[in-house]
Amino acid sequence: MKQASSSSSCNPTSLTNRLKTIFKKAEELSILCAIDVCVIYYGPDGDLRTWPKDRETVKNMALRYKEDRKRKKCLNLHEFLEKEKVKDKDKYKGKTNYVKNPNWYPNFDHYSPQQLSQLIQSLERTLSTLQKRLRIVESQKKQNTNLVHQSLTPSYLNQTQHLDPSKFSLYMYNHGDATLSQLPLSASQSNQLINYQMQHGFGQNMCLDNITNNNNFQHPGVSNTQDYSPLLSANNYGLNNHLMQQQDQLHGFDQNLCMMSEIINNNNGLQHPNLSNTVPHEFPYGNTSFSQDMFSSYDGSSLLQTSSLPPLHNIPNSYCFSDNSRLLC
Amino acid sequence: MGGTKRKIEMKRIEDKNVRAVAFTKRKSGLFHKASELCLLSPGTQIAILATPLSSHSHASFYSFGHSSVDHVVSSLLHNQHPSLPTNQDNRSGLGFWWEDQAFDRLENVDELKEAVDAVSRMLNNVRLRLDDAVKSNQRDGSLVIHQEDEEVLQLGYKDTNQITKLEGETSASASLLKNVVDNLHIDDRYY
Repeated sequence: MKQASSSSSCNPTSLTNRLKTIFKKAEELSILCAIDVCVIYYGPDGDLRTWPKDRETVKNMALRYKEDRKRKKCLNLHEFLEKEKVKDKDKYKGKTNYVKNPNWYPNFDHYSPQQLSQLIQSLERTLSTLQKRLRIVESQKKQNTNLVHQSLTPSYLNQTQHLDPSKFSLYMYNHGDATLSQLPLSASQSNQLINYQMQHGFGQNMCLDNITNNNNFQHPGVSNTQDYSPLLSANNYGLNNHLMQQQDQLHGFDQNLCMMSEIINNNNGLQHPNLSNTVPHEFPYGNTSFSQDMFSSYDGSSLLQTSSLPPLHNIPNSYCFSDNSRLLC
Repeated sequence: MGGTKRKIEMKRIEDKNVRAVAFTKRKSGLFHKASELCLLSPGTQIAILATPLSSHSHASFYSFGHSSVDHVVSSLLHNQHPSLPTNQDNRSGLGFWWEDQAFDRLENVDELKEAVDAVSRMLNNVRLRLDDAVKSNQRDGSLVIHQEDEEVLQLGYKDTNQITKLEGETSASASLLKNVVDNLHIDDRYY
């Protein structure tokens, strides 16, 4: 039944019946609502049919329509179908089987070969257009992907640049740690050495010799401090050399202690180690230390003045203190 | 009868409100019937004019027309057949879904792929249909034209030829039967 209905829906007889239905409905509308209705129909083959059948009445109504420029509602088939489309969308909103792009229309069953050829041409044209559009959109998508990659690279460079300051900071931080950690270590070692030597001196030497040892301890410290103060202002490399020289100085000082143990109450022996210590350094500094050493040996009060000299210097002060404590060993 | 559905008398409705409702519903129904006729019969042109219910009977018209009311009315007044150019169909927006201009501005790749697939399937179906139509034309040459109805004769030779084509199409291959069943489903949705 459905098949017959579909195949006969475009049958001329069926179309004629549909036209009769339209005329009948127009008649009913005009009677029930007491209005004037007219229908003008041109068939595919050009035949003209009207309702009402009286052409004069239809023409009069057509003329009135022509004269009337204020049209309340003039619906075109396109506009009417647009309304229907909106209704259909609302109607089929919740259904998943609604075909958005149908594969077939019933009208095509009744097309002539010529119409089908035209339809094929239209479809081929549309297919090529859509394929071009598809390629364009895909290429645009690829370009967007490339842009994303290009945007990622600068951020990577920024991260790299960010790492460099971090490394630099770490480097500075390590350098600061190295500088700070060495000084307390040296001080602690110096204290231990002082304790050891004091015990040793107390155990072996007499009271008079002990006093002489004290003088000997202080003199080389002061002279050495003055010798090294110019070097303290040098760069880190100079500081490293200074530390090495201090180690040599300590070694020499131990030798001094051995000589003292051999020679008792010998002032020449005391002065001789000083000269041997100053020889490795520059000659002018040696002279300075020698002169101060003799000055301090002659007068005890001047010794106090000599000890007050280190606080006067700002930067060398910390180094003098550490050197002094180290050299007292 | 006892039911709520009853047939009304074919005379003027006295109640003003009931008449207004009847006018609105029947007018839209009439326009719907006319639109169906225009869709089923390519090349048909129609115009429906209706005066409003207001007392000012000559105020304005409710109208429905294809291709346009002015076109059909002018043809009637000048006693000439309205010509229907092929371009006008595209302009009126009655083209098929694949002629939509929105595809040129579509950005979604999935929708474009779906449309390409649908157009490809449609193209294949139409080609098959063209082959069947050509075969039926060859078969029509040997058939004797049979005139059954007086109105058919009144419609002319072309319509008679169309009937013959329909008979040929009815005897087409069984593969079309499946398409027809599917098309019936689409038919309901389309209208």
